[in-house]
Amino acid sequence: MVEKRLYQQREEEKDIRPFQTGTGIEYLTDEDRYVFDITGYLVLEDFLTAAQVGEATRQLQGSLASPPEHVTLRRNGPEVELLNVVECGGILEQAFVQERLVEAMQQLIWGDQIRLVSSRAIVREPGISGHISQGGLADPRRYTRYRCFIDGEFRCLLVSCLIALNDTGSGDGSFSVIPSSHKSNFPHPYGGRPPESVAALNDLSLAAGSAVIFSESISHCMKRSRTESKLWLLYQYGPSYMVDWPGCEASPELMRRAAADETKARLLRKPYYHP
Amino acid sequence: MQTCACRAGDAVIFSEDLTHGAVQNRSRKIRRTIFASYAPSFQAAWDDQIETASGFEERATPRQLELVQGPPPFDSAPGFNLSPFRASESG
Repeated sequence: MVEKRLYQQREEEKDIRPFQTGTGIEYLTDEDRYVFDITGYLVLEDFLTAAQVGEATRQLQGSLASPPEHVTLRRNGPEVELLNVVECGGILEQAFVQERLVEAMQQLIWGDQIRLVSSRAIVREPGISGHISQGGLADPRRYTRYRCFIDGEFRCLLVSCLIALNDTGSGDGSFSVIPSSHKSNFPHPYGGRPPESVAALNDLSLAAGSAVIFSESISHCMKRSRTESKLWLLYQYGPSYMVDWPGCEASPELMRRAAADETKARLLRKPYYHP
Repeated sequence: MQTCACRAGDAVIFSEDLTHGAVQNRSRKIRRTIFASYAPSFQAAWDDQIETASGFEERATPRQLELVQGPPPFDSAPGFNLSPFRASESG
């Protein structure tokens, strides 16, 4: 009797095993997978069209002047941030479910068991740059962990998609990373140093509408721009059990709007455990 | 499979990565177990299993409250200043 039950249990486990060990589906090309594993980031050029960039910019400018319900304006010194921009609707509600982005996140995090952890907009005034985040194995923030196992299955925790809404480039408000630092065994030695003085940083030249997907375990920062403010969109994804970034909880209204779109509804679902 | 024989009052701490299970209760008595799971604060509670009974907050010790509520889930790396640099400071 005991043996029969155990046998039945094993049969049931076969049904849930794909969810527990990943889908085994590969959405990224071999080159993308290889580059992401080695460098910790992937660039998606022309992620948004010029029209979508224009729409996103107009929406964010309006929201900065008067944040809609469920969207919060936050200031960190001279840096301005809008939290929960997915609530603004329009392209800000559509961009995070673009097929190639979701497919990449599914492969990098945990198959279908992923969710949107935060949606934010960042405004960087000219002359302002950020500190270099930690990263690598020395980073005590365990929610950023980069993981790729011997069988080639990724199991990253927080993975971000940063979208440029202005042209950015070397010396002009670039998003910069220390390539491969997600695998570093040491803390980086640049604490307290302005990023402009750190040679190890690689400036990514992103045209308006281009995006970069990166593991939050990579050391990264934003360098200062020369003349104009830079506007960025940030969507962050994590495994199904990762809680929302404070201030980025989906409202009931958004959940109702999203119900008709299977992918959107799944990504906005409250944190949950798999079977 | 190795049996973990326990007397009433004993506890087992184990990684959820460990293959485990409870085998058939062959006695005529009901066996009760208290199960408490701990995880980093960025991990969501297991369904509603972290909801506390009324009056818990009043009678709990600070340490009990701390463990149930958890620290902020997305703390910055200790020792790192996240205030942006101004051009005049960074040269």
